Amino acid sequence: MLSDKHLPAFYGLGALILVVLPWILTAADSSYLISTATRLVIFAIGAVSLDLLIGYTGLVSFGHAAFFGVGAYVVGILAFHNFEETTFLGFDGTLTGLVVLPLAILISAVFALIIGALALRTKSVYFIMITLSFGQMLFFLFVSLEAYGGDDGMMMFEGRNVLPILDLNDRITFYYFCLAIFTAFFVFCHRLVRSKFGRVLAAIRQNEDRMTSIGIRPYTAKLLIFVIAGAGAGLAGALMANHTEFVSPGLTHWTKSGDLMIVVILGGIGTLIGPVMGAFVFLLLEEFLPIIFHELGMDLLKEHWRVVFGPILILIVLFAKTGLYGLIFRREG
Amino acid sequence: MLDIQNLSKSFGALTATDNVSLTVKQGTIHALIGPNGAGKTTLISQISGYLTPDSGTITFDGQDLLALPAHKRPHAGLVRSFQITSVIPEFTVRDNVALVLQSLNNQVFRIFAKASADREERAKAEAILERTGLATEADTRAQNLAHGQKRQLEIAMALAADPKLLLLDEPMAGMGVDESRSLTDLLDSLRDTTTMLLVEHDMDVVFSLADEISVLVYGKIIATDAPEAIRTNRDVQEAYLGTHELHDEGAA
Amino acid sequence: MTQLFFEQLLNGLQLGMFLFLVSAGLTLVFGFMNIINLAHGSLFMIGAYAVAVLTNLTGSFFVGLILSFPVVAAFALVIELLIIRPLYHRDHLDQVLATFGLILFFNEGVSIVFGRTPLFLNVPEALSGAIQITETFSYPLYRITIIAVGLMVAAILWFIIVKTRTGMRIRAGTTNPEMIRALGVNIQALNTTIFVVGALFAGLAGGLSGPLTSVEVGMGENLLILSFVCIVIGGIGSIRGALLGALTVGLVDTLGRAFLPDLLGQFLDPATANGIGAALSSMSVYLLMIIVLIFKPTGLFPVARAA
Repeated sequence: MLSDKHLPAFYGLGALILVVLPWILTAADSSYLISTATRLVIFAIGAVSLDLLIGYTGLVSFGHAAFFGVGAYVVGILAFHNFEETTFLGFDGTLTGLVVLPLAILISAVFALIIGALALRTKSVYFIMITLSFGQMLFFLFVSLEAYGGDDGMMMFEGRNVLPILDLNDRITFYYFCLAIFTAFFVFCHRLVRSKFGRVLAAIRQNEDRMTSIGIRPYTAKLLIFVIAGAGAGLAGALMANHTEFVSPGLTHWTKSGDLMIVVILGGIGTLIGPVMGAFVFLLLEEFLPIIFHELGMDLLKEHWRVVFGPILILIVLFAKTGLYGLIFRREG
Repeated sequence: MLDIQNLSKSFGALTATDNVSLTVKQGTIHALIGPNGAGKTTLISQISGYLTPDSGTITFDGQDLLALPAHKRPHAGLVRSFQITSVIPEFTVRDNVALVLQSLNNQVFRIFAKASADREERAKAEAILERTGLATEADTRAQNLAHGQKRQLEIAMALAADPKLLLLDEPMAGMGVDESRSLTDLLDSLRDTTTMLLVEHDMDVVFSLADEISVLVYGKIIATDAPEAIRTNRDVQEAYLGTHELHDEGAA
Repeated sequence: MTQLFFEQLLNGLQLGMFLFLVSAGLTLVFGFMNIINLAHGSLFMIGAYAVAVLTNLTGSFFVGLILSFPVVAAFALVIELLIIRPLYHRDHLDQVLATFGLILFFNEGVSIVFGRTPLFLNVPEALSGAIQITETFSYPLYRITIIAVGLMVAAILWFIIVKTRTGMRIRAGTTNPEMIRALGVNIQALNTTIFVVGALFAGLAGGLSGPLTSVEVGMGENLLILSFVCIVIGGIGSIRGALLGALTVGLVDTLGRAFLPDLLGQFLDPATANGIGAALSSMSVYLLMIIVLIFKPTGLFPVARAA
């Protein structure tokens, strides 16, 4: 068992693995897994952003995939209009990454601001259900967008966003691009949770009622972190749209919000590295459980690996609340 | 300093605050006493903004207090402590105090300022802990403190806000004799810098600290006077001390 | 037009009844046990599959429906004992995640046993016709039966909760959990009973929905989320709120889908009206919920909870 003091070394090791991963995979003749590694990095951004809410502020948001979807749709819609050479509300479509990605972050943040401003009027179980409902609302909104493929979503026919120098359509370049963004986001969150604002969030989580009497309005602080987390999820969604070159309402389905929560709890809530490990294990299970079941001759479970995953999740919730983080690290104090 | 005029608040049929008028003069310790259920905490909660009165006015330091949202009142210099201890359990004692300093310095939304790197804040927090007798516990998590120490922390957090007026809701609740005495001494040492409105059951504490005492019975102020005069006030004896006698008979 | 309106009104009422059957259990379980149970939608699905299978076995929908009760109850009992009970004193996050795990398990479990192809049920012979309501307007008897069943359940629940000793305990436990413990009521048994009864309502709704829709994996989930909307609108813990919320959501959703595009067509060109109408009507219940919560953050009939 390691202690918190080993975290920097652990971060370093993790970073090293992620950096050399493409070489290892290529050398092992499994370069198709680079795509999985890219998903891992993108998924980790979404999961870390959700943990800012669940773990650090105590806000159980059950609609986080909505912002993921908004970010993805910004990319998709702009790509669509670029391809069709039409306009959206008077704006031309574009594939220019330096425009699209910041815009995706901004628009997700605006959605988070509006949704958060309403949802944060409520607390506890109401908040869970409201965020769930907002997620569903956006899901149905995207479904009803017939122009953008409705139920089926839409392809990005011209490929990924375009950046100067970098060719994102090269899968290794794209992996490193996502890794760089993930790293920047992780460092940002690392500073955030240790900042003065982070201390306020921790205080709200532990004793929200006390805040007013020391001159802090919890609502404003919660709204700010909700917007930051929403923007983070939007960023992840924008990357995911680029990754798959495909956008559909399925991205915002409530089970996707559930998946994100699972990743957070699997890794360890209230930590930053936890959700990353959670994303790693989640994708590992998704990728390899079917194969393992196939090898074991249990083909029935191959397609339905979640029938095993459900009970595993229940067991983790009931008996291993600290998640993978708790298995590896012992918290100080 | 604090001027309450004709304040009323009802919960359904129960009138918890009944046309209360009360003035706390600058530089004094004003005690508010009364039997259980007299509406003392309800009154404190209206002053601190946790409850909104049905009618009446509260003026604090020349400004209309009711126009000020609850979370802004500490910034104006009006700070309360709680009858039931309410601290941030997983924070260290020092961080509990530092959080208050951060809030009062308007640094709530500092996203990039590392919390543990602010030496000035840390020194200030420790100075306050020194004053409140918690210096040795600075690194203890609040949840691991003894009950009396938690009460002290509660006072330390209130003091960290550098209040002009301190609303103390039964600060001695659940304290032992020694702890209670040292807290009384602490409050006494603050009387030159801080005005206080003190709700307290312990009459020894009240009479040793208060410059003025108001008696609240069934939501009404029945008397406001100097301690000696309150002691001999007939209405007070009847209404307040009388109920005590009744309690004693009932218990016997 | 008025005929169409009347038909949609009844359709909305019927959706409202399904929502009420699901919401009732959800709101009771939350109000009394302080448990948020996502797997409630799975119980709806289990009810539907149980009725489908048992109907095929026995050849009678009614026998199938009756026999499905013990099946659903057994599932509910096992879920309560194994999963829900350890969650009583956990936070809502744990409850959400564990019951989400249950959904994964049941969805995949059902698709292993029954495959991905939906099952279909016929409307039972005895209820197959339509009722002539006016000379020109008729409405399917089966759908009317569903409305009647919903109203009956509402009446029975009202009677139990308002008139009986058990109901008094439930109400007391919802507003003041400590007191009911202090009174020495066997809270464990009451918890289990409430959970199983709530599950039976959900299972009943699932069974009844079989002949109207296809019986398939994940069928309960949309209804579950709509039920959340119902009880949030109505105020969590309140049966009256659940009924009102369910009827409102049922009507708004059905009428919105039916008439909103036409209504917008009066002001906008047809293509835009259709687009916006479709978007708006699919979001209408959520918009409704948002409006309610802006004015009443704890719903229309909040249950006062003692700390």
